[in-house]
Formats: sequence, C-alpha cells, structure tokens
Amino acid sequence: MTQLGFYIDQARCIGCEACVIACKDKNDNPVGVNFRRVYSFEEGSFTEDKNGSFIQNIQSYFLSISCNHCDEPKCVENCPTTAMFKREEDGVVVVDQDKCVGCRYCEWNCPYGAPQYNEELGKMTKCDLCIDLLEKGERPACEGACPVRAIEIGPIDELRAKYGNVSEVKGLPTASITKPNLVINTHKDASE
Amino acid sequence: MSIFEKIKESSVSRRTFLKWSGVSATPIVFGGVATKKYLKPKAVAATQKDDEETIIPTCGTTNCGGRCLIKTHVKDGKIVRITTDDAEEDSLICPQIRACLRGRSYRKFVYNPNRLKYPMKRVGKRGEGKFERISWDEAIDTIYKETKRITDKYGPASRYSTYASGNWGGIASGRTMFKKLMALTGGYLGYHNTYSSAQTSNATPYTYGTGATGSSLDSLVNSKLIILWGHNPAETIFGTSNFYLKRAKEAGAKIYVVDPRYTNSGIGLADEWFPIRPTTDNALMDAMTYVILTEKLHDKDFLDKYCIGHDEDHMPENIPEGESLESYILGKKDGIEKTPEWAEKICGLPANKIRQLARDYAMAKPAALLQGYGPQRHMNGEQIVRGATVLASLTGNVGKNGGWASGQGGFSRTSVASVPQVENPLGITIPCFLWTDAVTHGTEMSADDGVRGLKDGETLPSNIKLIFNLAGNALLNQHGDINETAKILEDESLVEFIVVSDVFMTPSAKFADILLPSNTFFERHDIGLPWGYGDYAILSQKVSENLYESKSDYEWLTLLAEKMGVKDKFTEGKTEKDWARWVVEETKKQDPSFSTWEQMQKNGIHKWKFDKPTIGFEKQISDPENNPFPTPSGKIEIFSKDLWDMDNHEEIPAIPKHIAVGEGPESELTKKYPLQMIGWHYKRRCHSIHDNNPWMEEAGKQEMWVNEMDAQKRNLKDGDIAKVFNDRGVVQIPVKITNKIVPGVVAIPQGAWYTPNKDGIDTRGSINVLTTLKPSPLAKGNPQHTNLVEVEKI
Amino acid sequence: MNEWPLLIFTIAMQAAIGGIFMLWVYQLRCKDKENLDMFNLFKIPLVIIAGFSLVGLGASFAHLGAPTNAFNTLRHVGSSWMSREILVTGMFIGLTFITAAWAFYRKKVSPWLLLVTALVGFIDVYCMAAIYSNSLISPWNSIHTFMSFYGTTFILGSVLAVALLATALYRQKMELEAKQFTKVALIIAMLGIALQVIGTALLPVTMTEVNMIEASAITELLSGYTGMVTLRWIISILGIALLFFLAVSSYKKSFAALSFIMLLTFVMSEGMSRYVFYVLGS
Repeated sequence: MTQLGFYIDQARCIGCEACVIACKDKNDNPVGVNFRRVYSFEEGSFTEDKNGSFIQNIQSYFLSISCNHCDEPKCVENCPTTAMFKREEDGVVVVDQDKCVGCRYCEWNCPYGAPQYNEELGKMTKCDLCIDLLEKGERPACEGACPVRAIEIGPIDELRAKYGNVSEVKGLPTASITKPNLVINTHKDASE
Repeated sequence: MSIFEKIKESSVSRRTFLKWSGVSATPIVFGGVATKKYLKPKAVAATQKDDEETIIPTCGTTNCGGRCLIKTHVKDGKIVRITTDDAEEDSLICPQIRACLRGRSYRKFVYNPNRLKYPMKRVGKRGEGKFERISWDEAIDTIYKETKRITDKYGPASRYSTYASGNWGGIASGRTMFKKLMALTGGYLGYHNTYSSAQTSNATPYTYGTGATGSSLDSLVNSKLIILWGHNPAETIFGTSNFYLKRAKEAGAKIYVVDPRYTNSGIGLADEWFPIRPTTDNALMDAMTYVILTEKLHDKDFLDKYCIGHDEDHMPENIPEGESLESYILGKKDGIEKTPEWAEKICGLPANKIRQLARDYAMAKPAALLQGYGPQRHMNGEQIVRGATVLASLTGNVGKNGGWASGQGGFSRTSVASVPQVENPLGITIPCFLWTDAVTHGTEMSADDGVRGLKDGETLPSNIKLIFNLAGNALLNQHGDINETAKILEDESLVEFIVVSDVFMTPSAKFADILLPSNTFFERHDIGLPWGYGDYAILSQKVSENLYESKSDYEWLTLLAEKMGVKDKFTEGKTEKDWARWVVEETKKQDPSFSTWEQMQKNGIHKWKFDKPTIGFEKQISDPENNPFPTPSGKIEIFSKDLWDMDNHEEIPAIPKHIAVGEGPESELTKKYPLQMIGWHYKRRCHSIHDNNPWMEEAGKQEMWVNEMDAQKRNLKDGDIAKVFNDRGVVQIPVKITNKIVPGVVAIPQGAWYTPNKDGIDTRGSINVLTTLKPSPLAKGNPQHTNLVEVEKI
Repeated sequence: MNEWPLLIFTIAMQAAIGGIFMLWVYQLRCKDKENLDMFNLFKIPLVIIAGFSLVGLGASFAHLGAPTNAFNTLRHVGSSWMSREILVTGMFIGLTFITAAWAFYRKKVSPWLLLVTALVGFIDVYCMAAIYSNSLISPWNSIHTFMSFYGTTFILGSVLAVALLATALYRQKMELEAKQFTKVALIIAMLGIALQVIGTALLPVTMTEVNMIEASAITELLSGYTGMVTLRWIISILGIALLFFLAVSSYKKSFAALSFIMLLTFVMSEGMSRYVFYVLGS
C-alpha cells in the first residue's frame, strides 16, 4: 500500500479559501458541507502606552484541513456500519454510500472535523482525495486551486522525506489520537 | 460506456497514472465500480458521462484584480465544474494564472436563481423596487424616446453613464459602447478618475510626472525588505501579486505590513505587523523621514542628482525659505520637529517601532514600499501617496531592481490591439465621484470642481438628466452617503430617466426606470486583461447561450443604435465575437509571437515571457541626461511647484505632509463619534459582486471587526448585532471581536448590498450608508475610509 | 440543539430500563405473598415500559439520516460502541416484549425474565454511555457520562415505578405495600441523584483536554446554560420533595395525581440535564 497524504504549507497560507470553494465546486456541496475547511486562529492583545500609542503581541494564522486519511482513523473504528473504511490500496478513507446509515457518530470521533453530513442524502460525506480525478491522471481540486501553492498531495513517505514530520501545530489536536497523514510547514505563530 | 467501465477495462494502463513511486508495485484495484460507490451520488453523476464533458476556457470580465483563467467543464450546455490554469509551467517568468475563491464560485453567479430574467419598467415610486415585465421592443422604444426627448431639451451634456465596472471587458462592455453610441449621436458628459484610485492617480504624477511607477513583480525577488503599506493582495487579488510575494519571501525578503488591520496578506507573508490609525500614515512617514535624515541614512547622492525639494539647496526658483522637506521635518518654520515621539501620539505606533521601520527600510537595499489603494481613499489620500514616493526617493529605491518607486504603481509591458473609439464631440469630463453634484448643481461646476475640458470661467452646460447605469452599483451602493444619494435619485425632477442593465436586482438597479437583464461573461465574448501586474491576455469566451431573455449591453445597444440610425457605424458590421477575433488578429499583426484565434479559443490565454524584470524609471536613473523624469523640472519633485502654485497650501501642500482630516483621530468630532471606521475589499466579493453568492457568504460572512478594548467598553460580545451610526446614517451588522484591528478603529468590509428596513436602517452592513459625498481636495476622489462613527449594542 | 431524537432516545430507554429493574425489585419483596395477583399489578406497567422502549426505538430511527440502512449498524460490533449499543438495545427491547408477552400469555410474571431484561438493560446503559465517553468531544469524554446515564436510569426507573406500580397498589387497597415500595423507590432515586451529583463534581477533573479542532472550552460553553442547570437542580429537588412526601405521608387521595406530577417533574429535570449534555457536545 502506498499511503497518500497532504502537505500543507501553513506558513504561507493567506486564508483565502480558494481550496474550500474549489472542493465545494468539484463535489457540488451545499452551504454547510465542506470537505476542506480553513480554520483561523488568533491570540494576543493590545495594551495602551502612556503616549496614546499601542503595544501589541498579536499572533494569528490559518490552517487548511480536509481529511488526513489517518493511519488509525477513529471514524472508521467507531462507525457502526463499516461504511467508513480505509482503502487498502492507498489508505484513503472513504464512505460507502450504500452502507452509511447517517448516524453521524464519525463526526464525534474525528479530531479534524472531516466527516460532513449531507442533509439531502441523509448520509455522511467527506474528502475522498478526489480519487476519481487521480484515476484520470488529474490533480485533486484543492491542490490545483491554491493561489500560493501551499497544498501538495502525494505518497506520505515522499512528502515526509521532502518536508519533515510535523503534523501538530498550535490549535490542532494531538496527532497521537489518529496518526494523521499530514505534513505541515508550521506558521511562525503556530509552533507549540 | 461510463468512465468506470472504461477504467475497469483498461485498469492496467490506468494504474500508471500515478507517477508516485511504489504504487505500481502494489496490487491496487483502483477504479472500477469500487470507486464509484464511495463517491457522493452527485459526484458520480458528474463523472459518469465524462466523455461528453468539454472544457471551454474563459475569463471573468468583472472588475476583479485577479483576471484569472476560468476553465468551464460543460456538459449538455451547462457548466458542471470550474477549474483553472494548470499549465505545466509555473515559474517566475511564467506563473499559472490561478483563480481565487471568487473565480471558483462562478457557477453560483451564472446559475443564481435570482438573475434578472426579462426587461422591466418601473411601476412604483423610483427606488421603491416595483417593476413590471415588458418586451425588449418596448424597452428599447422607451429608452430611445426618452433619450431623444432629454437630448432635445437639455443637450448632450445632460447624458451620462455612471462609473460602472461590473462589465470590465476590454472591447464591448456597456461602458465602452455607451460612449461610442453617444459620441456618434452628439456627445455626452464623460468622467475621469475611478472610485478605486483617484487620489493616487492624481497625486503620483506630481512627484514622478506619471502614474506608471511600477516594475514587473519578478523584480521583488531581489528585494531585501518589502513593506506592504495598506496593501492586501491576499483579498483584493491584485494581479499576480500573491504568487510573486511568496517567491520574494522564499528568496529571503523580509516583509512588513503597515495597516490598521492584521490582514490575511500580513498573516500569510509578514514578519511583522505595524498597526496604525487610518489617515495618520503621513505622521508615520514624516517621522520615518526624520529618523532617516537625522541618522543620515538617506541616499544624499541620489537626492542631489535626481530630486528637487529635499533640502533648501535644491528648491525651484522663487520659493521662499523654509519650504523644503528637510525644513518641514526639522520644524524650521512651524517649530515642530517631526520626531517619532511626535508621530506616535498621532498614529498610535510606538516610537521605537517607528525607528525600527525607518532604519530597516533605509538600510535594506534594495527595499520595496508597496502601497495599496486603501490608504489613498482618504480625505488626505493624496498626501499618503506622495509621502511614500518621498520615502522611496530618500532611500534611493527608485529605478532599482528590487526597489520600488511607490505611488500609483501603474505597470504594463504588454498590450493587445485596442478597438477603434469615437471621440466625444463634447470633450468634457467630471471626476466620477462628483456625478451627484452634477445632478444637483452641475451648471455651477467649473474647473475648480475638477471638471476637465471647459474653457476658463465656463461651467457645465447642463445638469445630468439622463443616466445609463450599465453593470454598475456606483449609482447607489458603491457611491458615498447612500441616504443622500437615494434622495437625489428619487427626485424625478433631477435625473429624468435612468436605464439600468444588470445581472441582479442590486440596490442600484432598484432606481431604474427601465431595467434590463444583462447576460454574464459566460454568455458573450470579450478580452480580459490583468489589472496591471501580469503579462497575459485571456479570451473571455462564450460558454453558454444567453440565459432567459438576457442580452449583452453590446446586443441591446445595437438595437438602440439601429433606432437612432447609426447601427453601421456603431457595430462596424461586427458582433462581439468578431471584435474579439479582430483584437486577437490585430495583435498578432503587431506582435507575431501572439497566439492565433484558434489557439486562444483552445487555450484561453496568451502569456508573454520576459527573461528579466522591467524596472520602473530604470532609464531615468541610469541615464538621466537623456531621460529626464516627465515632470516640469525633469526631476523627482519632492517639492512640486505646480502644487505650490495652486495656492492652497493647507489642504494641498507642495511637499507631502501630515494633514489632520475633519473626521480623523485628532478631530473634535471624536467626542461625538469616537471610532474611526474604514472599509476593506473582502476576499468573498469583487466590489459588490458576489454579495448574493451563498458559497461566498459562507466563506466570508458580512461582519464588522471591532477591537476587544472597544468591544468591552460597549459591552459587545462576538456575534452581537451592533448599530453603527453617524450623522449620515445607521447600519446594523454582526460584530466580530478581534485584536487583528487597532483599537479605536472598526472595519466593515465594503460591497454589501444596501438593504434598508422600514426605518431606513441598513440591515446588511453597507458601508456607504456612513460615508461622505465630500471629495478629497486635489483629486476630487472618494474618501471612503475617512469616517467617524459610534457603535452600540442593539 | 439538533440532537432531540437522541435526547428522547436516551431518556426513554433509560426510563424503561430503570422501570424493568424496579419491577424486578418489587417482585423480590413480594415473593412470599402467594395471594398477590402479580400479573394484574404488572400488566399496565409492563405495557407502558414496553411503550417507552418503543418510543426510544422510534426516536433512534429519527436520528438516522438513512434509516433504511439501519441493519448495517450491526456490522461493526467488534470495534464500534454504537454497534454494540444498537445490538444490546435491540436485545433489551426484545426481552421487554418477551417478558410482557410471557406475562400476558401465562397470566404470571417471570422474575427471571425480569432480571435478565434488567441486566441486559444495564449493559445497554453502559454501551450508551460508552458511545459518548469514547468520543473525542471533551464534555462527554469522562466518567461523568456513565454516572449521569446510570443516575437517570435509577431516577426515572424508580419514579416511573411509583407512578405506575404504587398507584396500582393503592388502587388495590394495598396502602402499606404502596408506601413501603415508594420508600424503596425514594432510596433508589436518591442513589441516582447522588450518582449524578458526584458525576457533575468529577466532570472538571475527569474531562480530557480539548481534542477536536475548533472546540470551545467547557467553561465557555457552560456559561450560556448556567440558568438552565440551576433550574434543573431546583426541579430535581422539588421532585425529591414530592417523592418524599408520597413515601411518608398518609395522604392517599391524590396519590395517583401527585405521583404523575412527580414523574413529570423528573422527566423534565432529566430532560433538561440531557439537553445541556447535548449542547455541550455538539
């Protein structure tokens, strides 16, 4: 098996959400359903100086996350129907629409908010890494969309060899829960 | 046969699609029925009949800085997906022109169920929004008769087409074609300036003699320090800026952001944020100049060789003592030294930070101070523009690879053939922001009001009586003081007839007498060119037939031209597609490297490649003898004799100075309205376009940024609905409490559609309910970000 | 709040499980009384408890987006607490119906069936709680969930039994019996309350760190619901007072009416408690 995963250059992310919309367009997702999401974090405050000026220590960063197709996906483990499962060939976690009962239990078990409930279908949907596009030799929607070229998709071993092993940043749950296939180039404000 | 069946059949060859190592060694069962059932049913439907899907490249011709390549995936005449430039090459000299979130969301624009579907005439009071369906024949007939009546009565100077940029196509937009039609039939009142950049386009030439002060962006990889001064390309999408700033950063440039907000650009790019209060940029610049001069960090040789006005030894003739930049900064006349301690009180940035900014900018060679257009949309915006040009000159960063001359930053080194225009026989233009003045008292307006084309002592021959508002929202929403503007428009004795053509029922469209359903760029041909930075041209190609009864402005203006008896001169026998083809072919005649029509149809885009950067003013610096600056003195005019001669030294000084504005942090009005309010270009909208796009609302909710300190004082919690008000109006908007904005300042993203409730309170958060109609002194530009307000919890 | 079906499901199931348990407790005390017509006493409570379990079942279906796939939920008993819970819930409901059917068929109540049903029910409560405590949602990921769920089981079971069984005893002029049984019920309800109080006290210390992206701190979440939590405890205290009154007073005229008011009071307080539970988590 060649496990696929994501590289996210968080340091360069401008929070524009082109990836989110490209994903939405590709998957025809309604408002409220986002296979990819951009989270915004903020810390710090202003203090007034004696002369009417302000001292500040504001830190802020974005993080674009979809599904990390984890090595130990809690969604798969806890899915009562086995609809949620990890593909043998590439480790992509997908939902078998024939089996899903729409209980939403996977939502409670994913640290990254990846499973997205589709009201209309009454079933869970999620990032499937655009396997249909990959089959055609095209690139996943989010990767080709990023205006600052901060998303890369490929075999996780290669991404790790190229970009390192960071899969935790400030604001993101510990990687020990599910062992995500995610490599992040950490924003200067997001290192723990 | 479905794609899945195909895949199944050719699963061996299909496997090789992955160039990744290791894959082919594993026994994969990629594809086939297996894949299908894991996809959402809709996605399956979208991919099943893949063989029928065609990809037609096109380009958005809205007034968007991105001007990206939009690849439409069309099936059964319907766009099922949008992708963007995936060219193999994505390099410094030839980047992919990728769409941003707005470009990716266009399906929700073209297929929005709320599109205007047929022509309508007003039945209620003007502005009330009550309309009745009519035929195109009746619409054209009415427009023809009213145009004739008004022209006969008031003359051609009463005919005006408001600044409108919803269709920014280069060849056949309503904006262009109105001018042609009116020029062919007696003339019209024209306009100059834009709502985006009036202050900079007017002020920059007083320093450099031109607004074309930019360099190609690949030069930025040579910068040691880049200052984004009120510049937020992450959201405005200013050409290819995001791509090149990322490259510059990778090449080692330090990036600073000077802005009242910690912008998305700042978060993604900056090493440090220097927050300042709006309108106080020149206080900061003056103090930076003080530090640079007193610490002798300035490039004296550069100043002496290329500039005038920096010290008393380099002044134009007949100017009294003490008017040079140095004298002002050292307080020779007013007794105030423009020290960092003086400035910090005004701008809010601590003195030590001002020193750091000044020293780093002066010592990093080369350094690029890039100005956005936000800071110049102020009552003292002209000063901010010229202040930055002075800093660039002071540090010798003009004409250098990796430097930047600042100011307007206009740049172009490529072009396509321009379609022939007809000159306006009237030859008069007004500043576009002053059209409401020209409605109420145009006949009193003279050159002093910025009117061009009048003889000395003359005023406008007529007030505006007929308005064509074609793909524009500056008739109300994007103009100043919405409540006042609405009053002017409602009065049918002022403007007697208003034609609006648009895609949606915008706040401006509600004021139409005849309202026409425009098609979108997906339904017509045009050429799209970038907002400056970018060496490419895109064919905006027709993807779909006109939806409903919509027509392009070119199509219906042709019908009107026919009635007016000038059809042949108007179209010159060409359709929009013919014109697009004409432009491509004419361009190829001038530049054989240009793509053919067939190539443009297939690829959508032509990219020019340059092996080295083009640097603004390179010639003027390397060979000044033969290449003077296009200013009266031939030098960089830190002191402008032309400005001095205007004899309004308080408002329009000859050297850039900090000028406290009437609605700024130093004004008396802060007692009543203690908060400064600014707008910004939000990532989810292009001006006011996409405000009704549900995907964009999800990506960027309309909300007002309020600093934590200001929120606490007002007992506001995140998500509360607040009332924002001043003497001009009241807006209701949810608040976002954040420390990414400097205390004392609130920010409402511009472009939301004015939606008044029965009490006249805007419920959507349209910033222009709170802005003024008073123009800036020199450019007569819109000071959209100069406002004082108070905020209360509802 | 969009978890109404789950709220109804857990409350109804726990009430039914507690109710079966209380029926078993009662028959334990009356084993020797040969002349007692147990069937006659138990028939209405059994039907109503079976009804509760059906309400629970219905609510659980309402929670599903694709109920036609419901049988798939049994595919992952090996690793999913949801699967296990659904299996055991099914067993409990089945056993409840068997117990009732057996009673109606034989006109006699089987203590063994009651015991087995109650035990399966307790396992079911464990599974239910395990679903939440094994999730990554911080306010649920704690022993508090178990204590809260078992607390509800004992509280609602005992008050349900008082409303159904003690009322029936009164009707059959077995006043002493009724009073004694109400006292037992009071003790068990108090035990349930105690479990909940301890669970609530333990919540801040046993809760895990935030382990989901964009999760808010529980204190922040709770701040919006302090009023509701306070009200829930006030109502619980009122209910206990009412139950205490029923257990000790000899005022029997309105026993039935009062016991139903008390049942309603507790359903309300447990419902509110569960409401806060769900809003904290989702």
